[in-house]
Amino acid sequence: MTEVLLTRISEPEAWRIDRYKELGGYEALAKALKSMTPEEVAEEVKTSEIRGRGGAGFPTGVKWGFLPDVYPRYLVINADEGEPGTFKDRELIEFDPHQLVEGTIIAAYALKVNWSAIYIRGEMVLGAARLENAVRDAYGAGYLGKNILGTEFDLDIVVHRGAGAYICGEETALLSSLEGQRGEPRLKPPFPAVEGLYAKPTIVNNVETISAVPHIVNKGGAWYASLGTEKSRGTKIFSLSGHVNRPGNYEVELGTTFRSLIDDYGLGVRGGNKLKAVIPGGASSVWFVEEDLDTPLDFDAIAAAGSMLGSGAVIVMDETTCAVRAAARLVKFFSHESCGQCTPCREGCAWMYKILTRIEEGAGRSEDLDLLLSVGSGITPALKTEGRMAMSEVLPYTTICVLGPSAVTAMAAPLRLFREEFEEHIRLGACPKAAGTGITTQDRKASRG
Amino acid sequence: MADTKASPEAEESQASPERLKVTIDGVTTEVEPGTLLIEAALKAGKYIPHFCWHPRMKPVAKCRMCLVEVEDQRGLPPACTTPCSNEMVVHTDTPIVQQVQESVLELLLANHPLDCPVCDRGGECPLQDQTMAYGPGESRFVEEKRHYEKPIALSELVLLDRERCILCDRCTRFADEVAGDPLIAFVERGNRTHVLTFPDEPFRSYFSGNTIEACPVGALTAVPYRFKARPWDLEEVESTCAQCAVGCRVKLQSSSSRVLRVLGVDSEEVNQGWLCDKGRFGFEYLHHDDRLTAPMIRIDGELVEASWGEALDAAADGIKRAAKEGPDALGFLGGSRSTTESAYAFSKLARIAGTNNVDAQLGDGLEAAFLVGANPRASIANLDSAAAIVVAGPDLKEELPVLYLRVKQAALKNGVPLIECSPMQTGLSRYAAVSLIHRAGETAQLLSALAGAAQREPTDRPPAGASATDFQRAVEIISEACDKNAVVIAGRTGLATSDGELGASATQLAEAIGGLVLPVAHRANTMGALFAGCAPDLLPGGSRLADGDGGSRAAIEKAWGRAVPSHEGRDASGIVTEAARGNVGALVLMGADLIDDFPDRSLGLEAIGRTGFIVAIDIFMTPTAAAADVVFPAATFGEQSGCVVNIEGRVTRQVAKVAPPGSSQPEWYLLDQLTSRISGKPARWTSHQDVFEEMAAAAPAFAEVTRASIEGAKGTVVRASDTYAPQEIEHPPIATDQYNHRVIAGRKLYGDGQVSGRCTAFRRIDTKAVARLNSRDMSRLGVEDGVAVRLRGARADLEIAVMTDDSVPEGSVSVPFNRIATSSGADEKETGESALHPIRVADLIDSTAAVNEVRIETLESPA
Ligand SMILES: Cc1cc2nc3c(=O)[nH]c(=O)nc-3n(C[C@H](O)[C@H](O)[C@H](O)COP(=O)(O)O)c2cc1C
Ligand code: SF4
Ligand code: FES
Repeated sequence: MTEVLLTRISEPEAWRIDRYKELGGYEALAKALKSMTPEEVAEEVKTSEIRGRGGAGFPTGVKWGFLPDVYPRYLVINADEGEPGTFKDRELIEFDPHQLVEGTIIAAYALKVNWSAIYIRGEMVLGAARLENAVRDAYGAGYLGKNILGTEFDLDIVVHRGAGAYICGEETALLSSLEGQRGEPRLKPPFPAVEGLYAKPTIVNNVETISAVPHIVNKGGAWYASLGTEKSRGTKIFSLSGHVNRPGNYEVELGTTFRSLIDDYGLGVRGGNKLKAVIPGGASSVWFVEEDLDTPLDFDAIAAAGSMLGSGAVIVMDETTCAVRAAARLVKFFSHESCGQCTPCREGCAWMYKILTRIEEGAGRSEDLDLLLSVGSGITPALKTEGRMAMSEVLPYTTICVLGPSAVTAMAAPLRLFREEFEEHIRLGACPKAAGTGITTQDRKASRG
Repeated sequence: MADTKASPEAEESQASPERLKVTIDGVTTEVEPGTLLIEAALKAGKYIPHFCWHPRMKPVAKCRMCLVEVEDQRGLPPACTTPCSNEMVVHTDTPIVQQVQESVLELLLANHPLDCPVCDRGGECPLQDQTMAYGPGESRFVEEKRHYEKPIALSELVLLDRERCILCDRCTRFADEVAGDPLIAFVERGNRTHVLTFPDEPFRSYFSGNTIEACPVGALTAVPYRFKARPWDLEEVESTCAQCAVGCRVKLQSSSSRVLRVLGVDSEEVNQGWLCDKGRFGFEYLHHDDRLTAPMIRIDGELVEASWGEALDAAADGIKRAAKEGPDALGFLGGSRSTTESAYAFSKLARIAGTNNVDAQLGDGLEAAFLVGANPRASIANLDSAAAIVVAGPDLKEELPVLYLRVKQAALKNGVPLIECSPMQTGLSRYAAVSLIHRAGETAQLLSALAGAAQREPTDRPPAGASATDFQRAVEIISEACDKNAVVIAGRTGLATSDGELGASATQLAEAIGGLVLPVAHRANTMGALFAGCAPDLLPGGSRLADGDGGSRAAIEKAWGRAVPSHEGRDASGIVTEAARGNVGALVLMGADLIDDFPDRSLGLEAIGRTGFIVAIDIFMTPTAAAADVVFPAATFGEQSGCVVNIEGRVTRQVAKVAPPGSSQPEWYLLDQLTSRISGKPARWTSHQDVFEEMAAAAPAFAEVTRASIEGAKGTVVRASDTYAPQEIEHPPIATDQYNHRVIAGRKLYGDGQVSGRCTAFRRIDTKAVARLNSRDMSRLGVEDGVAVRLRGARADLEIAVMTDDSVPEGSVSVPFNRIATSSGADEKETGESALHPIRVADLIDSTAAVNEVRIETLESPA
């Protein structure tokens, strides 16, 4: 384990400003504001080659460079963490909120921003409270407000709580929501860096990305870049969940393998069961199986293996897992969270969910599997019907954002990996996994609630 | 010279370098930069299927029906949001595009109910049509469809069936973007998204009907039209709306000789496709049982049905008898509700009968010479690119709603700075850079002061109580806009003030800033009637009767075979005032109601009571018609063809679609008969075209207006032979009285007039009159909302409920002119008069005064 962002997590009460300072907090801020120009700070971040931790993995330094010379401009921190299986930002906020606040102030300084918002997922009640306290204490200590640390630099941070929509984690929907509009993704271009919040240039970054900034300033971009692999520098927090013996957030150097993550950190699959599949990068990624486990945790290596690193949510499923039920559950999530503006996503996700549910409940028809893939191809027309799915099949897509395509992956990846299991479900009119367990499809129906 | 004119091909090839070349499915076309692919495709004759895109709204790319492939571009860009770039090569029919289209349609239909047989939209439904053309041909959806309560009322006029809705965002965008009334919105998300109003706030927009027309399915339906017809049973003509002087182009649809629906036509010049709800739904009066169906004459004090011959003889006799007393014994009022042909016939009859006492306006407009001759005159489209717009007139949202939309669009979308000069805030105030709120009746003073300030004449203090900072800001804006086609919109600001010098001062301001003037009138064909000579000082064609130059008088006399009277004629106020003194022998009223539609009701009643002989040409038994000696039933909008002239001077055609009730006739026909009986010469016309040709021959201004040129939505713009040149302006001082409140009497869109009152569509809309007062005045009076007070006016007292409204400045009171103030007051019992005629705002008004003031008294008895 190479802990950079999580070093203070196990320290008692590190969320308090005095504790945070005792543990070296706000030193990076002083260094940046007093001894570096904004350009120098941005340059360090560029040198670090850190890639965005929110899912898309876009190089942060490059993104910052897109800002046109237009003011005011804004920095918005994406703390809406809602992807199933992802729970790293929550931990960072609940246990080390000042790290985020300090990172935000330094990033704002580098970007010449005087107003920043942290958009936090509404369900993170404790996190929001700790973050609000941290912001308040930072104002009290002179780290926020006018003339920060006696310099010319001013910054205000507003903590904005979301209202429970996953789609508001998509950066443009997030900006609309911040403006008080419906949380609907916007058409791109224009990208937020050019026309974002209130049509002004805006940088949106993930909590984990920004939390790394104080460390990059303290120890230098070159130091950060010395960690990890050539195309995936630094450390990354992986949220390991599912059928492992020790689920949790683990910060590792990029390049570590899935096998190591599951066995060394998660202490292996529960009960010594056989592994069935791994969702390697959040609910929208193509499933991996046992033979993929030696893939390193590296953006490009995972992409080459047909999936994606995403937000770092690794969900492990053992052999007792019903692929149909898992697919239905994931598609249900996307259908429920679709903003509804694109016809293919709004109607297609709901339809796929209805079909999967019908199969799961024992009323599947033999033509349903082809129908599922065909409905999916309404969202991602290049979707193939056979063989293992590759992430590249979701291009092109017919929707505005990638939520719709994510639902296709969540349906097609398991269907194409475990087609026989789906077919058996239909043939039996029941779940083969449930045979002998005493669980009936009626119980399933009831448990869905 | 043929050689100087480039051929169209040459024009194409020497296209300016800024034009972009785009190839769509092999067809190459050239477009302006900024053109969207979907528009370029239409231009190239290639239809790209779409649902959410609407040419008059901002594209949102939600339905995903218009996705295409563009060479060298990744993904499937939506044609509705992708701007063309040079040398772009686009494919709209590749297998992948077709697959997407089939899929989008299958998905849209998945949850769409198959109730097409009972859906108003069935047969004219974009979803049906595109399914036919691009759909998959079968449905694989076997699950339960989405269900909602159907339909729900969004307002008194519009119903929503959410099961049919395809969430294209057109209605919601229209309400927000175009109408400025964001009262409907998407709620919930994903598969549960639906359109809804906000709690306790119905979709009360004056423009709500446009959403029904914009809806690409049958989700929105009109209460008045619902289940009335199948589209294929409807016959339609294009015509021009007759509700106000904007002159929106409409499609008039009927079945079995009943008008069932009015739709908008997208005329770039005028209404860009939109209509107000009054224009869209206000036609049911046509088929009301109260329509007059036969001529009537008064025998032994009773109006009884008569033959046309008897009635025409009686009317001609009465007019001739009065005419013997000289020109001022006659008065002709009306014409602004008629076609221009009928108005011309009316103006001609007056002159043949020997008088110039003819007026199409009822003391509620502006100088006729200004209205027809304003110069340089703005078109509606000029507003789009004006350097600034000054609005000095009525609340356009209430009186000329679609003009309001255009002004709002100019301000909001094109960033044209808007200066509002109004006695109270209006629908446009939200969009105005400056609202110069000032004392009612002193708008002209304010415009003159602006004109002076624009020419650097120092003003110590702005007149009419306007704020100095606002005035300064307005001066900055107009100075900035000098010589860049600013537009001054000028109209009567209210009916309780005379606004006498408004035309002159608007012209003065336009001159001072090198801008244009757009005079506005209220009734639909006021302009046509004035152009036809229905004004004491105008001849057909808008030439000045007094000048008689330019040969227009000679041409007219030649056409009529008669000399045009040369006495100085009286306008409506003059005629009615004289009539009220008992000095008028005969009044001929064409669509003119001096009791319920005249600013000064006491005077109108007096005039009716004291005039020996009255001829009323109307469609209903108005209070005035009921007091007449001869009543003729007239054909009206939709029942007769002819032309109308809008505020710009644009001449377009109204076209007959249904038969008038009973033996009603177009007015020109009966006027021709009357003229013949009076002149002793045979009647001349057998069709409205005969009238048009005579008018065009007689009036030089109409020489360019040929029958062909007024076909279609664009029509042709007519200019008066004599342009308006104001005399030196003198603003008579107006004393203000601290104890009184200045009356602002504007019209509301929905009133209780003869026409709107007979449309079932508007029946559920609340049209009760209330007086609106500033909150400070309310507390000074110690009254609360809803409490009745007494307004003591020059003419009468009026009991009316009050309401707090801070858009009314302190010291003023706003009362709606065209609504009934139900009164339980003592006056009613004393006089017994009001039992016949409910008390109206017009009872308060003395139309001979420059301004009207009232004293407000509370009603609590002193116990
Ligand atoms: C449907 C959807 C949901 C998303 N949710 C989140 C989220 O919860 N948190 C997040 O940081 N990024 C989320 N993203 C990614 C953001 O759009 C954006 O790429 C990210 O915040 C950029 O930050 P980064 O460059 O620091 O990674 C989401 C994207 C999509 C399409
Ligand atoms: S893909 Fe789905 S979630 Fe994304 S914008 Fe379209 S409807 Fe909304
Ligand atoms: S018309 Fe382009 S997406 Fe709807």
